[in-house]
Amino acid sequence: MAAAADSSGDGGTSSGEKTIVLVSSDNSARFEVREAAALLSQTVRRMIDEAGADASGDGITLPDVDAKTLAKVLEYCNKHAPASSSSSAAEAAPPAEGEEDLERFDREFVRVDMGTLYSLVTAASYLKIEGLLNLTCQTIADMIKGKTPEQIRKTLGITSEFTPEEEDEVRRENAWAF
Amino acid sequence: MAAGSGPDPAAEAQPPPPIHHLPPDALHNVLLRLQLRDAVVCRPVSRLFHETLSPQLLALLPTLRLLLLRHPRPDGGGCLHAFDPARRTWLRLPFAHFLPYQSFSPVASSTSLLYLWVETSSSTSPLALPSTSSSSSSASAAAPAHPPKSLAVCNPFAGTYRLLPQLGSAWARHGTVLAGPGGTVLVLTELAALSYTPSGSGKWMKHPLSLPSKPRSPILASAAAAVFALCDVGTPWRSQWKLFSCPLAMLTGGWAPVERAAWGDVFEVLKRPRLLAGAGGRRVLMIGGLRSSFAMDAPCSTVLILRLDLATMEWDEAGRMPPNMYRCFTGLCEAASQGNAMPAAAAGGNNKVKVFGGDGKVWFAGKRVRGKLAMWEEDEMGSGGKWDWVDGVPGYGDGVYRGFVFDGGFTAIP
Repeated sequence: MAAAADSSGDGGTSSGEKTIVLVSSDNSARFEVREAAALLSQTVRRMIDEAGADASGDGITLPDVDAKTLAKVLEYCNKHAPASSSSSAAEAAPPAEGEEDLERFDREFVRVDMGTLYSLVTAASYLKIEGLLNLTCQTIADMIKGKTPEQIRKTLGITSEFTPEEEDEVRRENAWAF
Repeated sequence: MAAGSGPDPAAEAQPPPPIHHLPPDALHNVLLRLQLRDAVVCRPVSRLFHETLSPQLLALLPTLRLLLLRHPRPDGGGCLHAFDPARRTWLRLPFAHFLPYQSFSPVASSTSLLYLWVETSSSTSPLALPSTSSSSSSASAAAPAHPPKSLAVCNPFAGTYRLLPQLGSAWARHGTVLAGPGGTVLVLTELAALSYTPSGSGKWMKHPLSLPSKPRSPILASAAAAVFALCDVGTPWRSQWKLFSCPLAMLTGGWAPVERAAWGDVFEVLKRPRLLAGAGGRRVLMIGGLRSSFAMDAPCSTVLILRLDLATMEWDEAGRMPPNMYRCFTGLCEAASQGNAMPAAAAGGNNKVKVFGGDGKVWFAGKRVRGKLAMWEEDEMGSGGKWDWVDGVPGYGDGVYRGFVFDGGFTAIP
C-alpha cells in the first residue's frame, strides 16, 4: 500500500520522500501530498520547474481548482502515484497498486453526481493529469452511448436551445442515424 | 450517488454546472470516444453539440462499416437500405434532399464516398413528377431512349455530391465501376477501361483492353494496387476460368494472366465463380458453387469460398456454406416443408446464388430465400470465417438483391 498523504506537518513521509503542498483556488484548503502524486499533473510539474528554488514551503496555489475538487483529484493522484519518488522515474514507473485494484478504484471513483464529474474533467484538463482526464471523459462518453438526444440531455443536464423546427432540420439532415 | 467517505450535503445546494463550461478540448475528448452513429445522434442535443460535431471533427472518428443494397428498379426507390453488421440493424439513407436526380443506381464505394449512376439529361425535372405506374416511361418520353449518364460521387452522411464528366449511356449499362483510393475511379467493359483521377486531367482516360473475353467480376485489390478479373478461356459448352490482373498504374497494356503451376485445377471445382476483395485488400476471394463432380451438368453441393493470399500467391479454402443454409437456396427447405417431392437440383436459374460484398464480407441472396441474406465474415486473424443469417431485409418485392460494402463517414467529402 502506498503511503497516504501525510499532513502531520513534518514535511515528508517516513521514507523521507519529498512532499508538495497544493492550495485550492479560494485559499481555503492546503493539501500536502507526496511529490510523486503531485507530479502526475503536468501543470504542477511545470509550476515547480518555473518556481526554481524550492518554493513548496509556501505551497503551490491552483487558481482554477476549488477545495472540494482538489481533494477528490488528490485522492486519484495518491492512488495512482508511482512507488518511486524520483521525478524522471515517476513517468516510467508503474503505480504501486495492482492493476485490478486500480480498476476497481477507478470505477468507484467516478460514481459521483454530474456536477462533480464535470468539475473533475475541468480540473484534470487544467492540471493536465492524463489518466484522470481519460477516466472522466470515458465515463461521460459511456453515458452518451446508445441514447437518444432526449435521454442524453437528461443524463448530462442539458437544455436545448433549438426550436422544434431547428431540431427537426438537424435530425432530417442526419436521418440515417435515427 | 456521491462517492467518497464524507457527507456532501453541499452538493445538493448548488445546481450542477452545465456541460457548456467544459473546456473545448475536454468536450472534444469526450465526443471522440464515441462511435460515428452515437456522435451524429448527439448533433441535435444542443447548439454547442451541433457546432462541436462538425464534419471536420466527425472525420476523426472511425468509419461505419455497412452493406449497401442496390435497388433492382432504375428509379432507385428514393433511398438506400444499408445493413450495419456490428449492430445487426438496417439503416435508411435518403437521398432526395441533396441529390437532385430521380434515377440513380449506386455501384461502388471507397471510404466514405459512394458512386452512383445518375441521369443527367437536360429535361430532368427533379422530384416534381407525379408518380403513376407508368411514370418511368412517361418521364423518358421527352428524353432519348438512353439518356446520357454521369457518375456522381457523393457522401451520403455529409449530404454533398459532385458529378464526374458525362459518359455515354453504354458505359452505365455495360460497365463495372471500381472505386480506388484517392478518388480514382475505373469503369470496365469488355473492350476498354476508363479511368479518372481527380488530380489528373479531370477527364476520363480510355485504355483498350486486350483480354480473351469479357472480364467477369473485376475487383480492386488495394494492397496490391491492381485490378483482378476472371476471363472465360474455354468453349461455348464448357467454361474454363482464368485469373487476370493489371496494375492500376499500367491500365494500358498491363493485363496479364496470373497462374502458378501449384494451383492445379483450383478453377475447375467452382461453378460460376465470382471474385470479391478479401479483408484489408491483401487477399482475393473466389466464390462459387462447389461442383459435386466434374461432369458438365453436375449439381452443386454447396457454396465454396476460396482465398488467394496476394503475398504468397497461394490458394486455400476460406469457407464453405453449411448444408442447412445451402438447402434454403436450392429450395429443398421449401419443398420439404410443403411435403412435395424433392425438385431436381439443377432447376435452371432458380438456384442461382447472388454473391456480393467486399473487404472480407460476403453476402448471399437467392430468389428462393425471401427477406433474408446469408452472410459470411472473414476472420481477421484466423483462417476461417463466420456464417450467419441476416433477417429483416427490406422488401424489394421479387428483386434479388445486389450490393457492396460501404464504409460511411466524413473522412472524404466530394
